[in-house]
Amino acid sequence: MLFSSFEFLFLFLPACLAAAFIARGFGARAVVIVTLLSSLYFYGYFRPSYLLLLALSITVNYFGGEQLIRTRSRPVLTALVIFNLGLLGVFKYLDFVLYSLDFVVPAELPRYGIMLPLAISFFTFQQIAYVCDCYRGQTIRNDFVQYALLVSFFPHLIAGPIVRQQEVMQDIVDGRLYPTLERIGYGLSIVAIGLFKKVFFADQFADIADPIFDANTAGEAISRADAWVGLLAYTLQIYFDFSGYSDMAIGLAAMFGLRFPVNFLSPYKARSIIDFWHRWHMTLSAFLRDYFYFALGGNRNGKVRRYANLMIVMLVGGLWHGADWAFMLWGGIHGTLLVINHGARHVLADLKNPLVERAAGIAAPVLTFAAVCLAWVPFRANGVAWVDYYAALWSGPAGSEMHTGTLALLAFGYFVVWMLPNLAQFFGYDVRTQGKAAVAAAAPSRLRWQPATTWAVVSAFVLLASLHLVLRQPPNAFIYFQF
Amino acid sequence: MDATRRRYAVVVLAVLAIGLGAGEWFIRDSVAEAKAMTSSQRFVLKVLTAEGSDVVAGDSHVGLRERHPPYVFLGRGGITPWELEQALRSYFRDRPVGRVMIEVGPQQVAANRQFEWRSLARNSLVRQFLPFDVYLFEPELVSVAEQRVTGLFKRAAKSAGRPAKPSRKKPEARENRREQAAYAAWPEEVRALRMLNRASEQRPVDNFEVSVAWQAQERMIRRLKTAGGEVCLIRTPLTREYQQRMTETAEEWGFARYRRAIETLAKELEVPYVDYLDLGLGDMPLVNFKNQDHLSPRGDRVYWPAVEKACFPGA
Repeated sequence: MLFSSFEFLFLFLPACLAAAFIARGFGARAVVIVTLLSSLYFYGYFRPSYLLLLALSITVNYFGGEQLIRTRSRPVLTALVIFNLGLLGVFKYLDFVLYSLDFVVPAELPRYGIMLPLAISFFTFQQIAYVCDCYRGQTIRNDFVQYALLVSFFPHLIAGPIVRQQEVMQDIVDGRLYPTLERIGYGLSIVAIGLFKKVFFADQFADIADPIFDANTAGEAISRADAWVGLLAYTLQIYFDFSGYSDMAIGLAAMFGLRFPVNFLSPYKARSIIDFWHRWHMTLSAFLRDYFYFALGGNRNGKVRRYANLMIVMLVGGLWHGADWAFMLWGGIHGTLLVINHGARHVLADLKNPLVERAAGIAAPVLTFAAVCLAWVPFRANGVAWVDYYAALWSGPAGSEMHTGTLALLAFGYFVVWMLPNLAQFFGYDVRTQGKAAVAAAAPSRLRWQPATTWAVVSAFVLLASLHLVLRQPPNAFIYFQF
Repeated sequence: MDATRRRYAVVVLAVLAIGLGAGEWFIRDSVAEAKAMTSSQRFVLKVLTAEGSDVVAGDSHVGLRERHPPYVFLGRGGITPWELEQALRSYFRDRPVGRVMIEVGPQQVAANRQFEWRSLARNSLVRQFLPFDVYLFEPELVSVAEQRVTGLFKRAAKSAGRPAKPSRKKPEARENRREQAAYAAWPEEVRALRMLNRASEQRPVDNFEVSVAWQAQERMIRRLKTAGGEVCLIRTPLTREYQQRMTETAEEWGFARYRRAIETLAKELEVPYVDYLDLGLGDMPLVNFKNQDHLSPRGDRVYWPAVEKACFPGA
């Protein structure tokens, strides 16, 4: 059940809200139980058998976490992290490891063809964060049902944002999780933006990018112009797709009174690669920094170790996206760019030349966007098809009839990502940057959301336009569902 | 603040409800006003609106035209068994299941039928909660309303002096019809070439017994039987030439294996299977056909009463 599907929007969501409304009459506990059951139904709708895996993961982590809170035992923490990584390893990476070993081991190793359980990367990382926080004594006390709801809550279960226990648990424990008319109105306004991003922008850019990348994968020669159009379209597609999904998740949580962390902050406006990672999939970046980069030593052991740590973190981040060397390559490219970025910062700081600094300030956003854009090639092209795609970008056959509509749509997409405020600015949402809470620079007052009639009408019309697109064709899956 | 937010929510929900209601009304009105619809659009509409508990279901061999009253003909070119299953679920949601003839020719498990097609599944689902159909939930009917809006723009452009783009579909469809009408007059070698292509398209996929299409077909029959329907599996006529072509390739292309499998399935489910070859109609003349595997109105008059009699002898 995709958020942009008819089943979700017209059947599941109204039923789930209605059930929570009714349950509220029976107390806060009843709302938690009903929402948990709804969330489990939502997950089981994809493949009921994987509910067992989710239940196992939740149970082990909850009781392990309780043990950690009592004992602060390092061996228990290690065992829990190994358990979580083990699940991920078996279900996501086993065949990939065996496939990779084929190049080293002379005998042909078996393949198990295990189907990737939906959202395993997300709920595993979320629970690793939880057990680490239990060990550090940074969690809010909760019972099993509340914890199960935290992990399986349908708005974030499938593709994030990666929500930490401390961010929402207090509201659940204090009985503030329930839908009200006011919350639904507010949440729908956010959902409207997310849904519009997905069905209007992302799906249209997918229609441009997919045939070009598919042709490249099939070994067909693609022209240089087509290769660039495909890449620019995919750059927009992945942003609108994932940020649209995240916005919908934030809006859906808001309907229940929960405030999810913002996951995107206009990443293509980034002024450096470091800045990009403070704006793109922010909850994953924060997870990798707080639970992996710092655990490796962070920047405390000199420059070389710091750069090595950065590289390792980005390689793991790449591999988190999928069991494929191409994702590792994508992570490696970003790791290298981050190292260069940090190095350049030091050089510029040492130079103390205002002219050079100004020139760098002008060039950096352009270079950042170009680098991010080019790095999407291995992320999107299947297997080793990225080699051909890069070749087509530079030396593909020239000439292809460019459709004016396609170029206009691309121009409009880039106008939106570069010129318009983001969700956090529209709605005055708090954002976490570098571990600190901060408020995003607000949008101009005319564009800032207010509970006014004009905004209500605009939101409803955006939602209606999106629903029209939902109803006229089957939805495309969200890209991040596969991770 | 709460009152402001409540008013905000009420406005959002009210505009949403009014918008969806207006959309539903506009689609219904557009469907009622539509002068021409595609076969997919007409198929969806017929599933939602037709009356009658006796049904003939299948692909273009069955079609939508009423060929043998009181049977309701629910056929659409290239329909997948998965979609047909959804259509029949939708149709029989609030109608008693009577006599149902299902076309189960080998083309139903060909490569181009091995996918799920989404429309109509929505109303099949919605009817579990609501006692009526929602046109807004059918992409095919939404597109009727879109065509109406496009038509309005075209007319506006025309009246403003700019010529509207001519429609390409209609003349082509007319041409096809003319071509089909003269099938008997086609040169033999042209017919032979068409038949070879057609037979190639219609051959069952390897391991069709585990295919999506076969499973949907089996599910559909079981469901109709459970609902109390009298089910009969049928295979519609082919020209003698085409039959010969299929016989030549029967083993190699899996037609023979398919026939054995469908006969076994019919026995297992205790439903009759009526192949047109068993009807004793002999070789039908070419004028009874629109092309190698589609009957002309004259052919309909011969075939459908005969197959009904064979399927439901006591009827």
